[in-house]
Amino acid sequence: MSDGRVLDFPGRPGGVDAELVHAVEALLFASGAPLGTKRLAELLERDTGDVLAAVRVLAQQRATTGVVVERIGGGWQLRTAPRFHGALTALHGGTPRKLSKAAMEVLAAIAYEQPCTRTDVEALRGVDSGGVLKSLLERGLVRVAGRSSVPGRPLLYRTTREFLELFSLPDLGSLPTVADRRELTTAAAGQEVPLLHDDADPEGGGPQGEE
Amino acid sequence: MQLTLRGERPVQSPWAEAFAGPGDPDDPTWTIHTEVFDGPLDLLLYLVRRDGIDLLHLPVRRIADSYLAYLERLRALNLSVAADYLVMAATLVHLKSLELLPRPPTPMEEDEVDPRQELADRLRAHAKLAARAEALEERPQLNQDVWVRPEREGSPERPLSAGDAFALLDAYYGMLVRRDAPPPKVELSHHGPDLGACVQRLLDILGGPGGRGELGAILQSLATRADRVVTFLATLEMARLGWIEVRQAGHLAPVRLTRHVADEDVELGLIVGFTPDDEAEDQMDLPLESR
Repeated sequence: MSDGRVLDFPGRPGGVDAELVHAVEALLFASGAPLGTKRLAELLERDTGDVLAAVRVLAQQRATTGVVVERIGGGWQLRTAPRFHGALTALHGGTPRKLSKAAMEVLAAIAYEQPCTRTDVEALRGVDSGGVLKSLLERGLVRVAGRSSVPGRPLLYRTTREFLELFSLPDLGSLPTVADRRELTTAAAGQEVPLLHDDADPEGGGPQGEE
Repeated sequence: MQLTLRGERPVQSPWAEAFAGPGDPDDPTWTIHTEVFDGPLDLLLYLVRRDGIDLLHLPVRRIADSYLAYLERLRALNLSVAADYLVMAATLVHLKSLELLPRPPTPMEEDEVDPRQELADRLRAHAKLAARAEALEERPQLNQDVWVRPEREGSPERPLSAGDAFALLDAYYGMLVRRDAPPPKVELSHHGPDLGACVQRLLDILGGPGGRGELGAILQSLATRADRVVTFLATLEMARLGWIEVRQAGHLAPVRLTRHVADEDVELGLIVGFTPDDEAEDQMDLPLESR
């Protein structure tokens, strides 16, 4: 099926088979949902290294077009370029309901602290968060991930793959950092004051029920 | 917008939007519901930032006064203050009292945390959470900033195979055959067909015991729609009595009839709905709907 054309690719002496790039594009288009490199390699019966190179070539080729290749939740996905959001919003009949400020805070608390309990979330926010947490569970953005070992064995929560898809994140390690934000510059000097966990390690152990 | 409340210095406040709403603030029944502040920590953080206070060196007296003054303003405006906010007010007053009273002679234990430090920690943790929530919100969001190809609803679990095209052809052919069959004659009559006569006619068509026929073909051969309907009913009755056997190989397949009953065993009185001739006049007088 190949037309035999080979594209140069840095670090790959053999280059990349142009037809493989087209095949990856076809699969990502037809899938709609993110496809992992391994899955693509299985479907195409090719080496994962070849496929990964092909994905990177495709991402580069598409970078300036209206549909770009994004790394989402551990896979690859075709998404519209953010600069066309205006027309696309109109196409879809207006702006969808945004998450409330409270929902964003609960989601952020779980995303950066996971796995964590409802008590952990409420300690950070200083307000009851049960209702917000329930609606996030219903929307599939967070999930129950076992129970804590502290007394009462409260439920532990984690974010889901849908969460990564919603916020265009490749993985949890790519959560935006806030270390350089104004609010925290004054606190940065205080070494004796333990802040929350480092942004560099969002998967780090959650609080062990400090209440 | 700028607000002047009770002659104090003008403040820039997120509550301003709520204050600007319709209604007279002096009217005690005028109430405001707003979610601008999400709990006491949020309000405290707002005040700390408004006053440009360093989170690391929290001046307890100053923020306690600031917080209480704010609650006082809310109460003056008849805003009902949630219990959470009052708990925070109590905590702040307690911390302020610690600063004003002379230190107790017993030194604090090693692992005991300064309550002021604890409050500062909570406030900083809250500030960090708010910043993280904002940073997260700035990400391109699905169906708001970016879109993906939508999943088609009701996409088939198993695609149809090419063989199904022949089933389509069969269906079309069957339809043509039915269309070409002669349409039934319609006769308007006071008297419908006689059930007994239909039974007898069907038995004759099938012939003696062991005789066979196909129901569809037999019905097609009858002249009127009413004849076909009554003959069909006759078939059901005869099958019930065991006079004939009815077989069909599959859905919509031909219906094959086999006669079992001998002529001498046919007794029309056993047929449900059959009325002897003398009563038939009244019974059969029902108008038949024919088109």
